[in-house]
Amino acid sequence: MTDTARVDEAVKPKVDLPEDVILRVNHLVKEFPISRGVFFKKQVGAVQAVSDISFEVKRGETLGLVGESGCGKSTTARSVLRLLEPTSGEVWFQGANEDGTVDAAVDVAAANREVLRGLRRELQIVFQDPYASLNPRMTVASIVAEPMTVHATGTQADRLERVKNLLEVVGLSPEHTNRYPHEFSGGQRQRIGVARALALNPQFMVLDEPVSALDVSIQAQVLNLMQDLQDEFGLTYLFIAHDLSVVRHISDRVAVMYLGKIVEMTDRDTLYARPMHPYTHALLSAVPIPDPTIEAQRKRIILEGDIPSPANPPPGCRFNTRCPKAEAGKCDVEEPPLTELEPGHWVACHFPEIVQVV
Amino acid sequence: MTDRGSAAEPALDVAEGISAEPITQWDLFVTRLRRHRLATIAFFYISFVAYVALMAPLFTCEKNDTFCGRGPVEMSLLTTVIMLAITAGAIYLAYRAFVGKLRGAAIALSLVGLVGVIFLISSWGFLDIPRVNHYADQLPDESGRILVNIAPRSSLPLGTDDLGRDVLSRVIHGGRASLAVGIVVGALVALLGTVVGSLAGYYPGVVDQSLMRFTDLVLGLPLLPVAIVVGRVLPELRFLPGFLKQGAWGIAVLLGLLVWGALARIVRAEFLSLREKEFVEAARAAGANDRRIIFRHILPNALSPIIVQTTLIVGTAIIVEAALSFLGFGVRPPIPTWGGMAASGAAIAVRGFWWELVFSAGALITTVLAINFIGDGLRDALDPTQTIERK
Amino acid sequence: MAEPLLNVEDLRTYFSTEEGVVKAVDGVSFKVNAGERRGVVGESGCGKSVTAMSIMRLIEPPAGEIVTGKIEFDGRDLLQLPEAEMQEVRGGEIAMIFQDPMTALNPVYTIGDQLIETILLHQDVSKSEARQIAIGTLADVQIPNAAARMEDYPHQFSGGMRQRVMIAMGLSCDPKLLIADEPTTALDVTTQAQIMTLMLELAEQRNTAVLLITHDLGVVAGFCDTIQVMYAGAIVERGTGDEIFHNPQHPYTWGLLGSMTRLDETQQERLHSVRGAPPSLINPPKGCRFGPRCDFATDICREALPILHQSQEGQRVACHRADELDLKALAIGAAS
Repeated sequence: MTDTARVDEAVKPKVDLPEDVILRVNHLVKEFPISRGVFFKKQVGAVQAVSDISFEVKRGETLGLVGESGCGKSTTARSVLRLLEPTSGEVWFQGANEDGTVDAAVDVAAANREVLRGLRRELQIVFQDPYASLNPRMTVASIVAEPMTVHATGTQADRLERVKNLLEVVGLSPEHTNRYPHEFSGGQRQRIGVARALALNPQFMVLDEPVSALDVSIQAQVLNLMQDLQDEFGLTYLFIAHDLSVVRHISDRVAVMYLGKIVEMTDRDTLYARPMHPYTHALLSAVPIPDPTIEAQRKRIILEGDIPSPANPPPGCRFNTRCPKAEAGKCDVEEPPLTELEPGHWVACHFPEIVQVV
Repeated sequence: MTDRGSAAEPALDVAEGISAEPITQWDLFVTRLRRHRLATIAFFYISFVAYVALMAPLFTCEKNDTFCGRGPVEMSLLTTVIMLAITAGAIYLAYRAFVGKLRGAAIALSLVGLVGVIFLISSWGFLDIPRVNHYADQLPDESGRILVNIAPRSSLPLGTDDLGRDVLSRVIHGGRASLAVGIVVGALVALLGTVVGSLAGYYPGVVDQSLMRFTDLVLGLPLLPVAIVVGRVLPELRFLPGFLKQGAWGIAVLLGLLVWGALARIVRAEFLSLREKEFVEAARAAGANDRRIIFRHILPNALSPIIVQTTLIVGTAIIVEAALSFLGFGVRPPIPTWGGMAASGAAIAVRGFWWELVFSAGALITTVLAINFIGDGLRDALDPTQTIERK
Repeated sequence: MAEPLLNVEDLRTYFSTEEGVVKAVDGVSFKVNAGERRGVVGESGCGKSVTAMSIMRLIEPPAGEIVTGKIEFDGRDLLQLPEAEMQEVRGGEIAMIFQDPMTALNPVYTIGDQLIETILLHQDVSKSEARQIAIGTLADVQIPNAAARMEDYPHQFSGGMRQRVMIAMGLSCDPKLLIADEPTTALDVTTQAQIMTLMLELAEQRNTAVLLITHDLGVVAGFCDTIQVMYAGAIVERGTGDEIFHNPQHPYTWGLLGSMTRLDETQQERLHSVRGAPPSLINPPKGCRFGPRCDFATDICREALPILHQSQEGQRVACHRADELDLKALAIGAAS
């Protein structure tokens, strides 16, 4: 990472992003209201699922966003695509043209309906659940063609041609256009979802746990496919996952989230070889390795208790209630900022320390 | 060989397990519905009852006539149109079945078509068929005796009532009231319930709140008392067109306006859960607008509960209509209805003349039962969780 | 060697469905010794859970039926026991914990009530003694303030805590065998580490045999002494952890290991990925069930169903070509 990566500073909403940056997220916050009342709903509080996070994604790379359930990783992804309305913050998208020039950056979070419609061509998503993400009442052809239908690209015949082409690209037989999703297995359905996401030739794709609902052998097929597609079409991925070994396999850089905050962010090899945040240590040590010899030698860092409720996060560092290193008077009072401790290695901890866990 | 191919190279092996012929949703639906034996029988039974009721004018005449009246069939325009449609449809399907070598279906459908043709021809007066009078108070036989309370026998298969009217022709004619209630209530409930429910389910906040409170209000109305009062007032209302004032149509519309609430709630719940589904999110990510999401993504997936629930509500409405007529607040005599016949039948049943009560009530019970069986069958056949998985 | 604790012989459990008979478990035999921790690994639909349900006799006719087989537990054939005696065995001598603890706990009773009920059902103790045992087991599974939390309802516990309660309930009667069916699949990875560590400690302490059913090869690596890999209703390979992970003899096991992303992966190689998808269990392919997906299948594989036999390397494997193939020498992903 270069000096341009000062993402945690209050960057002025300006269009001059470095050319190699495709997406910059500044101070993104997403709150869900908690309301009570039968007749007149009254907001009594808010769950801050994502609280003030900033990061950027470089063109052509894969940024892995990992964390356990409730850490806000999926909410972040959906807010970036504005499938959820962000409460505050900016999401700058800087598209590129075929000749390599870049367009002026657009704030997705502030885009009006028209602009957003245009952005939908560039920003796509693949969902976790291959069973829930395909409309059971639509044929494969209409599912894959949907983005094109919505954006009225080409004639009906053009679209069908493109659908067949896309199905081939994702490794399905183009003859299956008039089938319904229920005829396909989980892995095949996920391929259909990928084909749909590719339909408009997007530049940026959110992969929201695309393999966690699949069996191991099928996972590998889909992961390989995603990598091939990235190479072929120069895609940029934001890869959401809870599985750190999958993230290691596919990502170039990784951001670890805990309770709505990014606690550590760096490139892949640094994160796994020299993690500095105690939560990353615990997370890494908890992932089993399929090798009994290695497992027998490993030391697990077992965290105490459970993740606190995001409706009522602990004061200070959000991890302090479970952190083996937490010091009273410091960690439970003062929130550690995300700072760059080594070049490109961002950590939010008062007592960072390199521990080799893997 | 390993999966080394580049992305453009199709990994054809993942296409395994897909049959040569596509299985459409309709195929799946029909297969599963047919597996539901009871629902299949019920479906044919209801079709039979509806068809016979539709053709009631063929067997009966509505004027004070002789026991075996002759002459052109008295038939409304609506009946003619429906019969035309059914007959044409049956003939077309019979042809398709014939081409498709489905001999049984071809024969059955041809019969339906043939009956329809005879009916239509006779209704235009080309055919002179003897018919039974079901309105006249007294039916003298050849020797001039009035045949009241005659037990079922070969010439009068269901006997006669205390006024000497033929019970069979009255039961057939009574089906028309139930049929009218079924059609009107079904249409009104499906329309109102779906519109209110989907708007409330898709647009949270003020729209949802106001529509649902209104639904609660309608659901809170006590059905029978309201129906009784309004039913009483109906014939007095000047501005109403004539067909709503007498016969079953007015009652049917009234019931339809009262019973859609349950469906609206169910549709709303469906919309609430479907709205959060990932495929809806995917459509939104593709840039689809509200209209497309509602009509293309949510509604088709909410169709099953709408169909099933409407069917079940229709069953209830038919019972309510019968209850109203039984109590004397529904369709007025002498127009025959199953409920009205059950009332007069009950009065004479205590003297041992059981047939009018048994046959009218029997027709009612079997019809409603059949509708409920169909509802059950539809529920199973349309349930997407039962989708046949290929593993 | 002493009699095995559990001896399953030629178990076949079939389900009748709309499309035909699903042979979910089709000829499975294995033994588990007292105190042994056995992993049963496989992908969804391989019959691993049905095997567990069959041992507990939780297969409900008419949908499913144990067609043939013998399940000897502690000298008795469980399939011959009257239902009343089987109830004694369930929860008493064999305990089971499930993937989703919420469905296994009754939401309208407190945790304490449910624990005490289980204990009273299987042990001849008074109510107050049962209460003491219950508090003791809750403390054993490291639930803080065990006595106070007895009065809580299931929804007041987090997912990980609920799974602890399930383990407490399972262990409260000191079973000889604990069947854990995907106990950590619904949990986060740090919680999974908590639960697996706890189970390991308790099983070692009490010398309880464990049948751990999971799709996650990583979980079994650190927990189990022996592992059996299932595919399409049958065991394809069985051996010690070392044999299975370091020297897989069956191409499926080998492929499965190659498909896995590893935390300690140092370079981003392509994953091996087993091609295709598991076969239908209604019309399984002729010959070896893995044949159509196997990189090494030959004519014999398409003709005859291989049986589980001792391989030269020591473990048991159901593959015609196990002895001639040297999978170890093949760099993963370079089969052809």
